[in-house]
Amino acid sequence: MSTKKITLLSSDNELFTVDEEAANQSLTIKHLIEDTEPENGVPLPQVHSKILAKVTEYLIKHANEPDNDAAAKEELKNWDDKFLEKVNHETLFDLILAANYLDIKGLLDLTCQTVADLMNGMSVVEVRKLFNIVNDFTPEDEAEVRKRRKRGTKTIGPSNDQANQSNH
Amino acid sequence: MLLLELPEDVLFEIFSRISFERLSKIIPVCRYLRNFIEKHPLLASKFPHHDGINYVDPSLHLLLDYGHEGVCYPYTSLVSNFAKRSKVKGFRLHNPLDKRGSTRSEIRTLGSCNGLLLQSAVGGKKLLIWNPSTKGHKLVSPVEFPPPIDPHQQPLKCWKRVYGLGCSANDDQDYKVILIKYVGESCSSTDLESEVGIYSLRSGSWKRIEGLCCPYLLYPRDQSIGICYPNSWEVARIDRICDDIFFHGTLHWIGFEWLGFMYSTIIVAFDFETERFKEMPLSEKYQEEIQQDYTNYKSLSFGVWKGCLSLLRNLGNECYDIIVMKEYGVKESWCKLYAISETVARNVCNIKLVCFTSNDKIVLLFDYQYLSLYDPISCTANKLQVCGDIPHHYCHTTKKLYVEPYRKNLLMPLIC
Repeated sequence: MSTKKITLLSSDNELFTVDEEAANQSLTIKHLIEDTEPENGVPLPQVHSKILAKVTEYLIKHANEPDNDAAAKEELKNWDDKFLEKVNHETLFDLILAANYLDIKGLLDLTCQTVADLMNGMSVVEVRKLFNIVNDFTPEDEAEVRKRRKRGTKTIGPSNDQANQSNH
Repeated sequence: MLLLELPEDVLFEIFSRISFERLSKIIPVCRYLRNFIEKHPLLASKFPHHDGINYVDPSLHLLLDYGHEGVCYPYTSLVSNFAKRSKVKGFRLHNPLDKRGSTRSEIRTLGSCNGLLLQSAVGGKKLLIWNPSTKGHKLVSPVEFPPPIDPHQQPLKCWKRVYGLGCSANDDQDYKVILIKYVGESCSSTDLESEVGIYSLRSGSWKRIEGLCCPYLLYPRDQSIGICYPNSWEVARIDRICDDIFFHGTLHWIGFEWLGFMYSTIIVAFDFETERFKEMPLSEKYQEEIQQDYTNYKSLSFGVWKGCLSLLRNLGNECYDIIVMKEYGVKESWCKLYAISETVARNVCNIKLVCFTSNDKIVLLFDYQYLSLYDPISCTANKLQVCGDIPHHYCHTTKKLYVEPYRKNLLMPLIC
């Protein structure tokens, strides 16, 4: 069986060639080539070649996902871990955006899970630092959030709340 | 770092993977994140003591299904936080298979139960059971029952399929799909023939219930009804969508029973425990009232009021009331709860009951087009305007809108 090749064109006009089966994991590409087949490659103006290289690497690896082979699944999982191991955070976000735009469920799941895992072990300050977020709360806001959190964790009922307020 | 520049649905993808305890710790990062997490219907009520001013009933959402009836733009949306405002925000609900803006495949909600949805997927070739709150899902192949053993006997043609989602009431909490397959000579025959199958989420397989036939005529949610009288050409068209509700371990439909000369409107119930159909009787007076006119079938829709099954009835023209069954299964316990003011019902062809809110208001759907919050004390209705990421043309479509209450289920084990 001969496999059809699909050419993808990045935002900076670099060409990437993958098997149709691999490309079809992206629903966006699948729909694009269903309608018309562009002669000079499928244009993906939102994806830079640096990111598209990573995306095609993922697509090729995941083109034939094993169904019942536990060992092959394990191998693929290890590959996924390695795939994102050396990626810096900026590339990780670009990959999320690309996976979202190209509608690749597996890659979106993988990248979102990675970010969630990153945030899972972090304090507020660390999250701000990592994602370059400016704290725009006023001291009053912060006091309110703290108060609410305290209430939430101790699960005090509404009657106790009123008692607390009248004490102030 | 671009965390805050990610599209909202991607942010949701990330945050839905973080535990509640962790999420509440992340809230104080900045205003944008706090607003996003607290205002998102599927994230916000993860917090037990959320005290946002307008959250009268934070666990109650509305599931809006745009474009029912026929193949058009499928769009399911969740609305929450509506109890005090006239403007509510909707979020597009992404089915785990058909994500991000793809309008190509048709999505239809076929049933819902305890926060789980049953939808048709892959162009109607598969069924999808999923939990929008945990994102767990299971793709189910529709069942084909084995053909008759006698080779001369032709397999009967199926002319209608009705699906429903329910849950067994005992401890094991197994979710089940019921399929009623009407077979034979369409409804021109007086004997309804049907095959009934049950899919169990736990066992992951279908089984046919031998010898069980549904003697009542039911309609799928996305069909408006045309009733054909047996042996005649007369067709009574009812411009409404059938209603169903899962309550008390039992799935209830508005159905029809052939009495030999006319169809009688009844409440059909399927008990997932005994796997049998039964009729949920109204008291004689109420039953008579919905059946006074043989040609004009009255609109009925379900709700649950303070733990009791309730029914909105059209009593002809602009006259609607709500009755409740105080004690489940007891025919005599039906009593009248509210009458809907005729001023509110004026110039409206159809009113569907959606749900009751915790502050004793009633969410109603008018003409399958727009939502209203009805106050039974002051007898006034306020139109609910749905905004948010619902494309403009969905809100101004002539297509029908199907709305039902939705409550999240986070306890549900992840199905995959």
